[in-house]
Parts: sequence; structure tokens; C-alpha cells
Amino acid sequence: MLITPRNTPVVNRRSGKWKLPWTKRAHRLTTRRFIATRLVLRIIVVSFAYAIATMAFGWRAVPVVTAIYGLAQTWALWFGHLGEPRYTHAPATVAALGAAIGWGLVLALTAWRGGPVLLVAHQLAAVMQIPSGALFAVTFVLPALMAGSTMLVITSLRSSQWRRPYPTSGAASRRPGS
Amino acid sequence: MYRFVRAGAALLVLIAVLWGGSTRFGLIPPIAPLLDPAHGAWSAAAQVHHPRRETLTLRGLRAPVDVRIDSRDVPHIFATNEPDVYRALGYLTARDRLFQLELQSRAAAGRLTELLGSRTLDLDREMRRLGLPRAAERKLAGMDTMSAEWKAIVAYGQGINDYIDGLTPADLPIEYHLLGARPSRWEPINSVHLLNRMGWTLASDAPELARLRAAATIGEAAAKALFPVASPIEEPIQPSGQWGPQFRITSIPPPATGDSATRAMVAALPTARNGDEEQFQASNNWAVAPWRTKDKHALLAGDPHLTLTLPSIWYEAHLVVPGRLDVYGVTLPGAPVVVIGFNRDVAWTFTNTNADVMDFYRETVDDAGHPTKYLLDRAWHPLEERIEKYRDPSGHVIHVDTIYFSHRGPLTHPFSPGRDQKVGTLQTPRQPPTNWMSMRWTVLESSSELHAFLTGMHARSANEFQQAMGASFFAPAQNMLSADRGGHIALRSTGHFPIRPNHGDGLTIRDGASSASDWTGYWPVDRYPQAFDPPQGYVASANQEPLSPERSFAYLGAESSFIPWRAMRINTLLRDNRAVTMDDMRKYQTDPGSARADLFVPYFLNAARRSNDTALVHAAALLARWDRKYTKGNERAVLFEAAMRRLVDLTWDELLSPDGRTRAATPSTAMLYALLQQPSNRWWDDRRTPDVEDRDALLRRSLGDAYADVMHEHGAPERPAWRWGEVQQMNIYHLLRIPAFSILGIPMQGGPSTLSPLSGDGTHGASWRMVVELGPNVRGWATYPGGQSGNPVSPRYRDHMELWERGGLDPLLFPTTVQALPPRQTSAAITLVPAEKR
Repeated sequence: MLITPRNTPVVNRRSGKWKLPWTKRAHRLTTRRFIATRLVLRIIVVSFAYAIATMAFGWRAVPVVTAIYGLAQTWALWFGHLGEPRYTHAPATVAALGAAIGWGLVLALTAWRGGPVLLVAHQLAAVMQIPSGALFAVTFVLPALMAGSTMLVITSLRSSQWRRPYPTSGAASRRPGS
Repeated sequence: MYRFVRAGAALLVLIAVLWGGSTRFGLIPPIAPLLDPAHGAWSAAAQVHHPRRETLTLRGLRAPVDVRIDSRDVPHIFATNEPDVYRALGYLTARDRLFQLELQSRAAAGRLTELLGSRTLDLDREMRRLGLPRAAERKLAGMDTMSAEWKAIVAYGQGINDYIDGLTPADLPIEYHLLGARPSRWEPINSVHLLNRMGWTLASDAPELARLRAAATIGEAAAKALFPVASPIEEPIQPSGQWGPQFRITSIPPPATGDSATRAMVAALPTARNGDEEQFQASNNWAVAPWRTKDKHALLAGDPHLTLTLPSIWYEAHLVVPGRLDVYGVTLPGAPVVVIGFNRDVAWTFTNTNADVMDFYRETVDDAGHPTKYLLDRAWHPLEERIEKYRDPSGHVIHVDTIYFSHRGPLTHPFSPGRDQKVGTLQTPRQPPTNWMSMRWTVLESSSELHAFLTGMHARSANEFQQAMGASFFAPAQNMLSADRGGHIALRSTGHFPIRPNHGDGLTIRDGASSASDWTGYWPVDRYPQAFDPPQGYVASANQEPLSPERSFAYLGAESSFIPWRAMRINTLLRDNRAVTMDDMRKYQTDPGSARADLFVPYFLNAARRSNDTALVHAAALLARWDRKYTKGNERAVLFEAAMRRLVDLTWDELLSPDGRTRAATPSTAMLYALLQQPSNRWWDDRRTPDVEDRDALLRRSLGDAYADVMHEHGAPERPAWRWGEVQQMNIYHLLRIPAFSILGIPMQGGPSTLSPLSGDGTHGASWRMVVELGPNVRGWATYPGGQSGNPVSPRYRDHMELWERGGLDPLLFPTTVQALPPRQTSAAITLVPAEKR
């Protein structure tokens, strides 16, 4: 695990050159591509977490998982010098997307096992007198709302305190690579 | 500051989503658990497939039970003892039909509001005020806890509860998710409730109500003639030696005016079943002796017609306990018995007898508003009082009824007029009741139908089956048909038939203040309508009159309850065939021919012959070209049916209410046929016109009006809209009448009074069609509308529909051992092991 002081600038702003040797640079997800990759990976991991938790504990797992995820991030940020991740990109969006995709994964798994998900959607939508697409939309929006709002609460509350161990503002609160 | 605003807003959204997602809004269940992809309604998709091999534990099993699910999804249950076989049956029925089990038992117990809320209050009140839950409690209390039937219902219930106990939210049927409910545990009394409910479905005909309402409108004499005891067209269940139908046409007195006393009494009676329902009650069964069949084996066919539902009314199963029991057929979900089916020696099936087993008595009570006593033989007797509380899903009491019982049964009182409903549809009186009626009904009496079925399932001959049923089966009375491998065929109308004082009929309201008005007993079994190996070589029943009046031991029922048309048709088909095959039997079950059309059409044609009206001549020409069959593509049946409806409307105008909207009662089509033989009877006159019409004038007008109506509604005769399949369709509703889970608008072969009748709203039909050949190895063919699964998204929910629609039958697998079921016809294998031993 790479240990780097949190407030160490990554790129020299004037010269645009790397301040760190390549061996360290390779371990730091600082370029946009890496950030994007890391974001996608994070969404995937989070989605699976939501899917597994929902299958195990039901819909209530969504805010709980989000809370755990949010607190874990806070913890990681608080003790960022001890490990990754050190910066979270749009955490509420990640949580919302992850939850929606997580529920989608559960449905996909059911369909993969031979379950007639589309038929259920068709019949359930008919019972509710809405289009099938709207039923899918509601099914995905619901966990997204739960996860997104939970994460927003956590990030909003923590953002007033999480800088305390780091007296200087800067890279930690700034977008890496910007 | 912005952060706090954002946090507050997010918190509000979160609370709103969590609260809104987990809260019920009226009929809308909590949306979050409903849409949970793993444990909510979506989980219905995951429940579709069961593992091909499973080992499951079941509490209370004495030994392992092998179950093989065949390619039609029918479980073949092989156990070493009978309680185990019923326990396994309960478990498997719950696995496939849990919601149906709960809904039907709640409906029968008058406890639907606890699941569905106040919108079902009227249905619950009806059940409770008829005394059905009280009767079930009494029947259960009267059961011997050492008896086979007690052990069977307890084991069956344990099997159901074992399944319920192992349920996770992901296993719940979709209906529970939609209702936001959880299944309740099964109680042994539920099985009794269900059999009572069947009694209510099949034996709640009260012909005295129709006759009284008619008498209040057209006078006593005309009412008696139009609603007589004996049918004018007779081809009874017990063969009377005649070769074809016998017509007993008697003169029908002209309409008069009803007296005020009768009108007052009618106002005090519950609303009765609409007389037009005669076409709905329609089951058939027949058996042919070996000497009349091609393969020289006895053949038996049965197709009980009921209000069809999805999931199906029946659950098909094969129960095996080597050396003791080997029975295949359909069970009623909730009862551990094969109701209709066959074993290695005997096959059996039922039609409804339609006997009149419900009577009313005028009671004298001490306080019309709050009675506590009733007068009997000049002495006051206490009324039993029962407080019935109705609760909503949250457990709150939403209504309370006080129901009184005399020694005869529940007391009813004047009801506000409502739409035509079945007997006992009770509504809250708008003013304090003044006339109290009590009701006696065989369905409420102590009985032991479960014992009868359990014994009948073990029968070794047709006669043994009839003896078993005759000894214990009391209600609802059924025309029980059996045939055996020895070539014997037997048919007996079995059930408790009350004997009224002085051998009177059940068409009067008797004085409740005298015990002399009470029933004096029941018919002896040997006087039941019956036929054992009759010389004609076949027996058939189709809800027709069971006995010729001159052979009848006592009053059995009224003409309005019996229908001759299908019996005439099946008897014609069987008479004409001396080498009947299994396939003939199958075809007869959906035969499109109609004895009713055969009799009525010539009258229309003869009447129209004397007309110069071009439209009428055209209509008659169309009708003349009709083959009198109700096939799906037939383009003339629609005209005939419209003409018949118009003829009924015009003929019975005297029975119309003053507002001209409803009839007090509608005489049967057999009575209409009897009237056709009296061309100048005053009944033919339409009082609403200045002319005095006779029969032919009314027939012409009916056909002319019908032609205009059909043209108006469906266009020119050549258009596809005239096709019978476009006009009359079958509608099979889900138990909750959810259209998405229902199958609606099915074009079918059959019309009013054909062997597979189709009429009205198309909700009644053959709930099970079966043909059994009683050869050296018993072979069965059958199908039913729907499928074994209760899960609306399962392919097994409706996989029998296509075959049922076209009148086909599936060969039934009847293996003697587990190994005898071919692997390619085995869809799953389940081993149930005792919970203690696993």
C-alpha cells in the first residue's frame, strides 16, 4: 500500500511535470482515465454490494449499505494517510447508480436463471396500470433515491469536519488532476 | 451553510422515500417491499423453476416419501402410510397454490376482510349470516379425533404449515406482495369450511323464492303452473324405460294479479338466484357398459362445470400407499381427498343434483328489533345469539353483526332490495325488521363428507363406491357416477333429501311456530334416484330431473332447478352409438349440438313462413340454413340466440316489475317450450301493445327484432362479427379478478344448453374433463382450464388452456411404482424426509 501525505501536490502546476517518481506515479490514480476507470470499478463493486445485500436482507439493505459505504469513505478520508481511497468522486451519484444497477443485477440474475422477468414486468405493470418501462424505471429509481439521498446526508455532514486532521486546504478537497 | 441545506434536503428526501416506500396508501401496498427485486413481486419470476432434484424435510413424517412430478406437473406421491401421503399432498398443494388455499378458506369462513379489507365485507357477511362458519365449527367439534378423516385433515394441514413455516419473502406468491400481506397458518377447520363452501355453491337453490315472487306478480295459479315441481320435458337420471324424452305438457293458466299477502312475504325474503342462471349450472357425466363400447371395457366420462378461476379450482394429484391406496384425480385445494378420479378398479365423477334442500319458516319472535326468543308449539324458546366481528387487515373491527339461530338454523329478516344475487345475500335493513324467517339447510347439518371421500377412494367396485358415498355423503347432493373394471356402471343421486311434513314440497314458506312444520327425516338411501347396470347399457346425468314424478319417493326439487337439454343431447348421442370409443366420449364432452335449438328453431321457421316482411323472410332463410351447432365459426347461432332472448322478453312481460327493468322470476326454457304447444294461450299477448298477439305473432316479432338487433350490432350476415366465436367467449378470471392474471375473451365451441355450455358472461365452464377406460389396466385422459401452478407468470399457470380450448384430453400417467414413471416424462424428483431423521 502506497503511503503518501494527503496534501502532497501530485503535479507541478507551473511545469506540468510529475512531482513524484514514476514508481509512485504508477500507483496513484491521478489521471482522468484512471479516475474514470476507478469510478467505473467503484460503481461495479458498489453495485454488486447492493445486489448481494438486497438478496440477503431485502430492500432495507440499500440505505444501510449506503450508510456503511459512506462511513467507510469518511473513515478512509479521515485516516486517508493509512490507505485508499483517498478521494471519492461524486459519492452520491456513485451510490445511486450502484443501487440502481445492483437491483438491475438481481433482476438480470433472475432472468439468467430462466425467470420470466419481462413477463412479470408486463403483468405487474398491467396490475398497476402503468407501462412496463415505467415499472422498470420505478424499480431502479427507488433504490437510487434511497442510496443517493443517504449518501448525500453523510457526505454533507462529514464535509464540515473531515478536514480537521489536515490543517491546509488543497489537493485533498480539490479534484485530483485538476 | 449550503452543506447544511443540502444535508437537510437529502435527509428529507431519504425520510420521504423510506416512509413512503414502506407505507400502504389505500389499496396500494408499500412500494419498496413490493419492488424489491429479490423478495418482492419480482421474485415471482424466480419461483417459476423448481430444482429437478430436491430433498426436503417435513415435520411429522413417519417415513420418507418419494414424489415424482410428471411432464404435466402432476405430483405422484409414493408414501408408506396414509397420513404421510396427505401430509405430502398438503405440502405440495401449498407450494403450488398457497394463495388460493388462503383466499378460498377465508371466503368460506367469512374472513376475507382480514386479507382484502372492507370491500369484501358483504361477501363475509353473507357467509356468516348463512351460518356457514358456525356449521363448520360444529362439524369439526363433532369429528372423532381417532378417525381417518381427522388424521387426514390434520396431516394435510401440517404439510401446508410446514411449507408456510419454511417460507421466505422471496417464496411468497405474487398476490401476497400485491396485497402487502403474509400467509396465515392453516387450521384443520379450513378443510371443513371449503366443503361447506362447495355446499353453498351447489346447493343454495331456493325455488320457492322464484315461485313466490312470481305469485306476487301473476297470481298463485299461474305461478304454480310456470314454476311447477315436475318438468314438462323429462328424460330422468334414473332411466324410466322410455326411449327418448317424454313431454308432459299441461295447460298454463293466464296471468292474474298477485295478492298483497304474498307481496308482503316476498318483501321479507332474501333476493333469489336469477332464473336465467339455468344455463350456467351445467355438469355432465355418463358411463357406458362394456357391451356398448368398441373395446368391450366400461367407459366413464365426467366434466363438472363451475365458475372457472385461475388458478384452477382443482389440483391434480396421484396418491399411492402400496397395498392400501392408489388413486388419481383432482383434489380441491384445502381438502386431502381426490374428489373426482379413479383408482386401479373404479372411476367416479359427479354432477350436481340441484335438489331443493333449503327451506324457510316464518318465525314469531318476542322482540322484532332485538329478538331473544322464538315461539314453538306455544312455548318460547331461547334463540342462540352469535356476535360476528369483521376485522380489517390491521385487526380493527370494521363491522359487527348479531346473528340469531333457532333449532332450524339462522334467522333472516327483511332486506333492502338489491340486485339479483344468490340466496342469503343479506343487506343491512333500512328499518327494524318485522318479519323474521328461519332457514333450514342440509349444508348446515352435521355430516361427514370427508369420511365418504376417503372411503370412496379405497373402493374396489362401482357398487362399493356407491355404498361408501351413500353411507356418509350428505351435502351438497350429487349425481354420483361410478364404473369399474368388472364392467359395472352405477349412478345414484346421493345426499340428504329432506322429507317435508305430509310429504309436502319445499315451495312454500311454513309456519315456524309449529314443530309440525319441521322436516320429518331424510329419504332412505334405497329410494334415492339410481341406476345400477341398467338394460340400456349406459347412464347419464346432466342436471336434469333425477326421477319421474310418479316414481319419486317425495319432493326432491322443482322444475326450475333442472335442465333437460343436455341430458336429451347426450342420451341421443349414446343411444345412436353401439360401439362407443374413448375418443367418442371426448368428442361428446364438447359436442356443439343443441336439443334446445332442435326443438325451437322449427317454430320460428313455421311462424315466419306466413310473413311477407322481407327482413323477416331473410332472417328465416338464414335460420333455416343453420346446422343448429355452436361451433366457433358458426354464423347463424347468434341470430337464434338473439331471437330466443327476445322471445323470453316478450313472452314473460307480465312478470316484469312496474319499471319494466327486471322480471320477478323467469320460467325455464322448458316451460317456454311447453307454452309453445299452446298457440293461443293468453301468455303470448304482449300487454304493452294494443294488439292481441298469439304464439306465431310473437315468434315472428322475436325473430324480426333479433335480426334487426344483430344487424345493428354486428353488421351484415356475411361479416365475421356474426361468428359465434366472436360473439360469445369464455372469460376465466383470476381469484382476485385481476385482468392481467386472467385469461379473457377465449372463443370456444358451445352455446347455451350444449354439452359444453357457454353463455352469459362466459365465466362458467368445464372445470375438469375426464374420460376413463376401465380395462385390465385402468387408463385415464383429462384436462382442465389453467395449470397446476398458482404463479401467474409460470408457464404451468395456463399450460393446459390450449388443449382445453380445443376439447382435447391429455393421457394421464398412472405409474404403479416410482420407477414406473418414464424419466423423460419426469420433470422433477422430490424426496421428503422426516425432519427428525435428516
